[in-house]
Amino acid sequence: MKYIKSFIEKNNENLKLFLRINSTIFPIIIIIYLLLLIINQFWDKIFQEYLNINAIFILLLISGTLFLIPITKEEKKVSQIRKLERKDIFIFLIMGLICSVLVWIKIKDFGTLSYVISCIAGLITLFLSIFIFYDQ
Amino acid sequence: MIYKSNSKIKRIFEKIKFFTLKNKLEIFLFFFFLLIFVIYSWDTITDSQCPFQFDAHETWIFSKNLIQNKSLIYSDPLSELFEHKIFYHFGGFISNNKLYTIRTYGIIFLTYLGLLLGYKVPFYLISLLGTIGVIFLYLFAKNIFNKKIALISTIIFSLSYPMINWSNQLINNVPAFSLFITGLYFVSNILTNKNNRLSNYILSALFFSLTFWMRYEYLIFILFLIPWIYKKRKSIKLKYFIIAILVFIFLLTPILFLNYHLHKSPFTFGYIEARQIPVKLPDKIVKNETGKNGVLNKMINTFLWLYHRFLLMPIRFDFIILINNLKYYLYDIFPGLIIFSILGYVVIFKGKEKSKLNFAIFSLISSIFWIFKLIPGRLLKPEDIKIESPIPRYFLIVYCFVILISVFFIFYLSKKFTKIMHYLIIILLITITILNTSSLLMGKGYTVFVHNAKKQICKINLILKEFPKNSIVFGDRRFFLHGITERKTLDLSEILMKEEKENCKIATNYIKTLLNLNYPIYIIEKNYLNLTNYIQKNENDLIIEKVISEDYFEIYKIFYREK
Repeated sequence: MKYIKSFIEKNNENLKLFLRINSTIFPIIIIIYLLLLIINQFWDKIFQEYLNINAIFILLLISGTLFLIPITKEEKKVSQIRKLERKDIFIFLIMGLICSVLVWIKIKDFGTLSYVISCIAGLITLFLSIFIFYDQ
Repeated sequence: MIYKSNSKIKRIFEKIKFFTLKNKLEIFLFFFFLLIFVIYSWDTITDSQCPFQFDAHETWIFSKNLIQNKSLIYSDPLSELFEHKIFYHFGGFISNNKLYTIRTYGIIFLTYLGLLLGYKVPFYLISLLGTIGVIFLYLFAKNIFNKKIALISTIIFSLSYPMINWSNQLINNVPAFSLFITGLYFVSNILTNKNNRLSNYILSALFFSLTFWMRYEYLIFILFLIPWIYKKRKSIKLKYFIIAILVFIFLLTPILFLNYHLHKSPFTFGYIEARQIPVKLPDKIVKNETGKNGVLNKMINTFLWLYHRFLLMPIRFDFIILINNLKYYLYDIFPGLIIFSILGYVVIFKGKEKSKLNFAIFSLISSIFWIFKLIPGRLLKPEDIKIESPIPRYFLIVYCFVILISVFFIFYLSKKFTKIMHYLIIILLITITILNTSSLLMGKGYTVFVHNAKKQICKINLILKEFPKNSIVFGDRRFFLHGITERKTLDLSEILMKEEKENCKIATNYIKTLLNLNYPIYIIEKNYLNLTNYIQKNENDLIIEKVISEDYFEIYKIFYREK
């Protein structure tokens, strides 16, 4: 314990810098990880031949744990409640459409059912976005 | 006049607009839950419903028996005529040529109630209970966390593969989970100091006891609530609490009476009786006797079995298989969420919010116990590690906790991330969930395959309805037999001698015995024996007539040649 404490005191500045870099990297790794999972739905060779998802998983776990160390001390809100604008609805529509198309590509062999499911998926994405980000 | 009516219409529209904007979340939820009910009863709505699984067929038979004979013991007098138990091809265990169920009484009574109202009603009841479970999950999550977390976790959970798949089957896991989460909601009302009225105590006791009627293992999860209750003991009214416990015990006593009536011991359930308890403790085995100490010995045996199964077995596990199982049953079903749930627990344990902390402790104990109890105990064979196997349905409670904690963590990140970044993460997660669910439903998870198979059996049932009421259908449970509910069925796979010819001979003798008793006999092909072919070649006194021919099955009628 003593050794760890003295190590932290000695490298305080470096550690702070490291944690700051980590807090920037962490969201990026999350998004990459989630995107890779989506890509894997269409092209499963990506994890079999090119990438090791377990490595990314462990990296994300370590990065996330380190991210949580300073986070509890400085809980300030970055985001604030915004009013719903046309521009936002347009973005949500595009996201919903992308989700619909992705689902449709995945299940297109199932005829009419694939259109219904992909439409529902798109609508859920659209409505959810509205509720999550613009709640009164 | 026109001006007046126009302004009236305008006012009505404005009122509707105001109402919609004010209650947009509630309106969304209403339509969402409606959609969920439609998805959960998809097989029933599309006329593709029947008790297809082994367990479902057993439940069906016993519920129908309860209607017809007012008994929980099934017996078929014809069965006594034959050496093989060809009429008892569904689950349960046979004792003195009678069949006892190993399903819980709750699912049998639920199916019984449904059947009184109509053929499809039991299936609708399961879907309805699934939907109710989702609604109460939302309310419970709102109590512990907030509206947004409740909304996202409800959507992810309700659209997950295990919920959609098992809400469409006559299986008790979804109703048990739903009743438990409903009870948990009423408990959370008390433990989060939201509502400390007597009604909450009684309703929680009622729903927890109903959960136990559906699946017995949920008693353990109810017991895991003790640390939470103990921590919040100051906010609990002792008088109400005692009343709730009494209600709970009172509602469970019929189970003990039923057990005593069926198995001669209040604590011996059909499932335990069927497995000849306890097999691995030779020094402690107490033989079942019918004498003075019979009941006591049975009770000792039951408790030894429970000790062996729930306390000793989880310790013996293979780590590699455990990891493999976790990958298939947790990671592959919720690929994006597991990482968030681990970090979510870290955040909650670091935080100071008591209700979240208490819930996290409860959920963690329950999940760890269940994962370690269920996975190694059931699945010590690598070939059993499959998503389409029945195992994911046992994990509904764990899935629910994983989703709640991970969604909590995602929202926790919103305090640190920019809006767009946070938004992107949530949308990506929902996209993955929907993509993964649809690919599991249509591929690896076999839901669509089962849907199509059930559709075929429904068609067979429709055809069989036209046959004489005392008809007996010979078939093979590995092909079409389970799910056939319209006429009595007989399973050829129960006849398994070394040689196929010998099996055919026995089956033919059985046919002749039944023909002599004036039962109209039908054979449904395919079966593993190719029985019709054998009869045509070897039995001169029997005539086979093809009654119906479809792409995937054929039905033949058999009768004696007139002399």
